[in-house]
Amino acid sequence: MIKWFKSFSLVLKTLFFLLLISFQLSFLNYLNISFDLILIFIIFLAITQSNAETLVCAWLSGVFVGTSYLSGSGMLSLLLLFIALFLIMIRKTAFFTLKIENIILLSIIAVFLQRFLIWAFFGVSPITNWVGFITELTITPLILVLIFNSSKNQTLKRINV
Amino acid sequence: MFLISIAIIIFDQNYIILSAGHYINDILEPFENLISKTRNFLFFWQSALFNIKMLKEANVRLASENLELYGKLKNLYLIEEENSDLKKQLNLLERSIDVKRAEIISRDYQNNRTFVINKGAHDGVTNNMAIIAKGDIIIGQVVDAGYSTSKVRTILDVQTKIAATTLNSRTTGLVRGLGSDIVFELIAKNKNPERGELIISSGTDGTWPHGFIIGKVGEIKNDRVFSSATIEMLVDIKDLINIFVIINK
Repeated sequence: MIKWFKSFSLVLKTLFFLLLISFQLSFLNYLNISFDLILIFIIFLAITQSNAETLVCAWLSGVFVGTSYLSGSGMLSLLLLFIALFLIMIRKTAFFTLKIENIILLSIIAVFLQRFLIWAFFGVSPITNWVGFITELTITPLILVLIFNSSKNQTLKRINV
Repeated sequence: MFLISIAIIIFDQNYIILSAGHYINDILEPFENLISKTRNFLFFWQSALFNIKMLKEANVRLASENLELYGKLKNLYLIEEENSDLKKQLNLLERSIDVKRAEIISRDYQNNRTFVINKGAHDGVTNNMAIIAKGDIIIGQVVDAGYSTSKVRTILDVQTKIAATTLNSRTTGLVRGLGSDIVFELIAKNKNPERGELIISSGTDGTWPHGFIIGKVGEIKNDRVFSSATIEMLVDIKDLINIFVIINK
């Protein structure tokens, strides 16, 4: 799946990006127990793509998604930028290899960080919808493990930083 | 990118930044429309399949209630006719509102404080227009009308404040959003609203139209200076798909 994504042209990547954002806003956000596909996308990019691409995509995601939120695009893009930066930093210092344990830990840390930043920036406590919080904590690592498991045949056992 | 984000936060009411936000919404709109239509189709059939027994029981109950309502409707029709005649005699204007039907195409993540509808300035929607659901129930207010989409702040949001009154006991107060709920507060100590009584917008704040339903009085709490009451909402904003924008009052 990683090779498949890397082979996309810029046009296809843009289309994929717009579909992802629209799917999150128009479908997943309707479910009480949902997860954040944008966060999963940023974690995926932080692990597989270049730092610049990860930061740009995180920032753009915040700008696009923020148009549907009252707080606007600035706060959300800043939030996602922080998350992307943090993920890149801890990947460089602690999670060198693409082991399942590392992916699970990285996703859990990302979810906790996102919830903390949402609480800090927007005043929305994770306890308000704790069922959604637990669901996201479960589903995010699961989806990432599935994505990276399907790329098992590729020689990506070590990511050079 | 940090600097651009900070600039967006500081100058969020700037014309260029607002226009850019509207353009982004216009780009996302066709995708959101398609996905929301697919979602509505899937959820409808999923709900129908899982709730067949419940639907059958509800159908039988509603058929019986329908018969009772026919009787009440006949009386209501007679009262409306009489009311209309009396208004003509007194030269009073009939109340009329223009509404535009819209569909919710996206909403915020795990909250119900904001959503986006598929109608904008092109359709006559402007900022501060009230949004209602079927049954004249207030849902929110347009806060950012783009060309073909508009952002709506729901009554659950903490910035929402509506001057309200109860239907029977005529108790005035203020309905305020708490983030995940709404509360009816600033009730004078000498007033006694009844539990289950309807709360409607009084229109005295000049922002919200008069006479629209907000909810029902829930648990009443007596504080030192004022009383307050929880509000039972009549619709779950999460389940709404179609809403109406009040174009003129």
